[in-house]
Amino acid sequence: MSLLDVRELNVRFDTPDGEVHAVRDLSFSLARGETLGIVGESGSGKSQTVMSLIGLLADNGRADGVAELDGENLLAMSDAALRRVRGRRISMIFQDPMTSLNPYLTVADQMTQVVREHEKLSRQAARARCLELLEAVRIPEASERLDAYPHELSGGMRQRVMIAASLLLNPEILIADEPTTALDVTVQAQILDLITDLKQRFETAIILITHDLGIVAGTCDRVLVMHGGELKEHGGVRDIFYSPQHAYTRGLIAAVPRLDEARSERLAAVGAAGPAETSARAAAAAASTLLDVDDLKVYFRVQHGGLWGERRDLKAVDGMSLVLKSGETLGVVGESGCGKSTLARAIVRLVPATAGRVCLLGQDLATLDRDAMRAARRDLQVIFQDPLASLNPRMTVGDIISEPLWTHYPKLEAREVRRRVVDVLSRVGIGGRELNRYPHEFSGGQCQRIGIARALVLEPKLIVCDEPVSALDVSIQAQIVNLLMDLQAELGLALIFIAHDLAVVRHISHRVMVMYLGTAVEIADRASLYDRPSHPYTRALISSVPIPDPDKEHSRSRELLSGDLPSPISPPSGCRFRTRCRFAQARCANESPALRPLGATLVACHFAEELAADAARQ
Amino acid sequence: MVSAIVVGSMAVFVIVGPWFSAFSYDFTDWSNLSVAPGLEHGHYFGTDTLGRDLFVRTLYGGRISLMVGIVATIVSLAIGISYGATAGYLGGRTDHIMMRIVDILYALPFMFLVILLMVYFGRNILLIFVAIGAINWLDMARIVRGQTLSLKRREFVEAAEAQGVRTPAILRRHIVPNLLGVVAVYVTLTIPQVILVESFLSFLGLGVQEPMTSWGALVKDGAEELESAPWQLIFPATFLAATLFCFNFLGDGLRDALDPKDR
Repeated sequence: MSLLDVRELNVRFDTPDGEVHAVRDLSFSLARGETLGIVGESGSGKSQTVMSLIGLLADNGRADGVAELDGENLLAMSDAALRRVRGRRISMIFQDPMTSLNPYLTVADQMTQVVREHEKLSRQAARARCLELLEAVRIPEASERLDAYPHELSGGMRQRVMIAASLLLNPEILIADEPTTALDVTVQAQILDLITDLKQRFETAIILITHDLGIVAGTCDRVLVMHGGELKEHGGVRDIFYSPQHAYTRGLIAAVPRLDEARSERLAAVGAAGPAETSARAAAAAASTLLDVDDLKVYFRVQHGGLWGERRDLKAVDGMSLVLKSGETLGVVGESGCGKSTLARAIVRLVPATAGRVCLLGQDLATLDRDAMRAARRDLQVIFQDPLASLNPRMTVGDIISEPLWTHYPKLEAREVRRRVVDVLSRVGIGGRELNRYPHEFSGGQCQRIGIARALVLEPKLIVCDEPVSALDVSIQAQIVNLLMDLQAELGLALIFIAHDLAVVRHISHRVMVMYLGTAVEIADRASLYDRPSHPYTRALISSVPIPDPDKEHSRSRELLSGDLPSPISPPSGCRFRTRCRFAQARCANESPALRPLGATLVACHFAEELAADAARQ
Repeated sequence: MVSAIVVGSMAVFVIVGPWFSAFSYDFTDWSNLSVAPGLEHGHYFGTDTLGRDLFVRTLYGGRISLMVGIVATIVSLAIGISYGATAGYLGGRTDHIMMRIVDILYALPFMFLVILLMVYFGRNILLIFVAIGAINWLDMARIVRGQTLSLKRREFVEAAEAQGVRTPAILRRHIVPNLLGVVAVYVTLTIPQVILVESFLSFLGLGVQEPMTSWGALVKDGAEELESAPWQLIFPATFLAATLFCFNFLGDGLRDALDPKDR
């Protein structure tokens, strides 16, 4: 018999614009100890489904239907009864571990609060229970962490605390709403591994909500695919991946950029037209040097510790060099906090470099005066991560895209400006009729297209893309990546493509640079980086990325990284990666490895040759 | 919406109203000293102890009060926004110096400043504008600077910088329009505040000169006669309170109206 049985669940919201039907006639069941994945893009109703189950819908929301937990209908329960169910029988982990812990309470306070709410336990007993669970979620030095405040813990640690807190009362169902979306891949791999392990130990049924098909493949038994509030497909994880029945599921699977397959020129875009002609990207190889970054350093002065703390340098980018040819794409990957965005901002001189040179077409940008720099910016554009935030909400789309023209060609006639704007908008797939609309009237994907149009209107030679697709849904992500690749082929653009998603980077880049704590640890062309990663960090990163293929995912052996990124204020001595490296030896603490060639690859590791030899033997 | 209509009609009324009145603001009706409101003698709001028509005096007082409120607010708006946005956007040392100047001005006691001005230049309605404006822009500058600091790190401002847009254009096109929401709210809080300050000054006898008057001065006179002639307090006080109330509501309305997301 199933533990949870949901039949014909409907969730509706009353909004000023009329009723929104967020979930339509959804039925599913969950057995004891089973992991059910709910997959869908944003707005598919996946979160609202579980919110309605535990009675946490927003005030204007209504749920009807039947949701039976062991024969008791959750939707018909009183608030008091529901409160007893929440926490004790069903508990929940939220997406953002930064905001779901109260910053004024210590870990022990938050956790014992939950226990004592539901069970009569002495303070000591509650504390002992908390400690036990913190150890179960593999928090190192758990007894000390009990009295820590949330800000003293890293993101991964906080999510562990959340998981521990949700398991305190030994619930029958654990709902995890995008539990790893806010985390880095290496930490995500640790958390997923932990969830799978805990499921076996505590025999908890898990509902895992996610947009990432890779996560589903590795952890779930059954999968619901939702789109626009409706259930599109429901089945075992292998059926979903190997014989998807619904067109939407097939589209979703095809749209995911993958690490494990030969690279195709285009990602299948869900709901979009068929593949266009392939591009001639090989021409890029012979081109000349466009950008030359030499030993770039960007330090920020920060106050360390309290009001009177000493001032220290945060070394966001610490001695990076790279060369980019015109028409080439360089991917930059690394965990958050490794300095990727600072590198991007330093290249386009949004933050001043502390030392080093950035040369565009042989011109050192740092030496340029204000007017010359302004002229140089014509060739150097940037696309930001958050599409909506990068457009001024009080300007129309037409004005937003005209602004670079007004700035650089103030003598241009209004009609000519308009012609160019319409032209560039059509290039990114937005009609000229939209000129007078405001950014908030567009979807995230369209906003990103507008951002790209703004970057393109000056016909630059280089565009620095700072995580341009990480805020977008998988299918939209595919469209934007394809658009960038098409534009590159047509216009001969060079791209620096910064992302934390290794699969996307693999898809779009010619060469890839891996960053760790402000330094490059490996630079290689795409094929050798992904097929034969040389640096231990690259290997761990690649092995942490979940692959949307259940069989491969289960058979894969992982090189999990332990711990979190050290602070860039006081990085480890010698090799910065040594604190998390499996192969670290005494030499790594004393000597900082330089980037040196290993075959076609540049790698910064003392033992790269030995590791390569090892890998070859296996 | 209702607030806007009330404030608007109040403004029209105080401007147009006196033209239709049979009395002027300083005419003394010897036969009707301190009479209660009534229709038969033509003094709709009654008269004060000197026999002056309270109806026309309330409207004249309204002219002064609203004018002080609006002019002083515009002054503080103009200085505050440009000063605050510049300090916030440029940041660093410039910001430090500019904001320390604000702090120093803040430290000057307001009453002291007003009394000083009065002593040196004599009583003058213009001085009140200057004094109130000179104090109020400090608040505005601080608020605007704070908002600018947070706007500056927004990606659309960075995008403009990356395109090489000049600093004045960034301030004009990107920073200031996005400040409007907050500023609109603050303005509608400032106007009543300024009206109150003026009333307060008049109450202390530092404000407008007899026989000219303002709501504050009328309230002061009315308060003295509260027991014998309550209408002298009630009418100006009602006008004052209604106006302040409506301005406060207007703020919320304006903020929503200025938001392009609701268009």
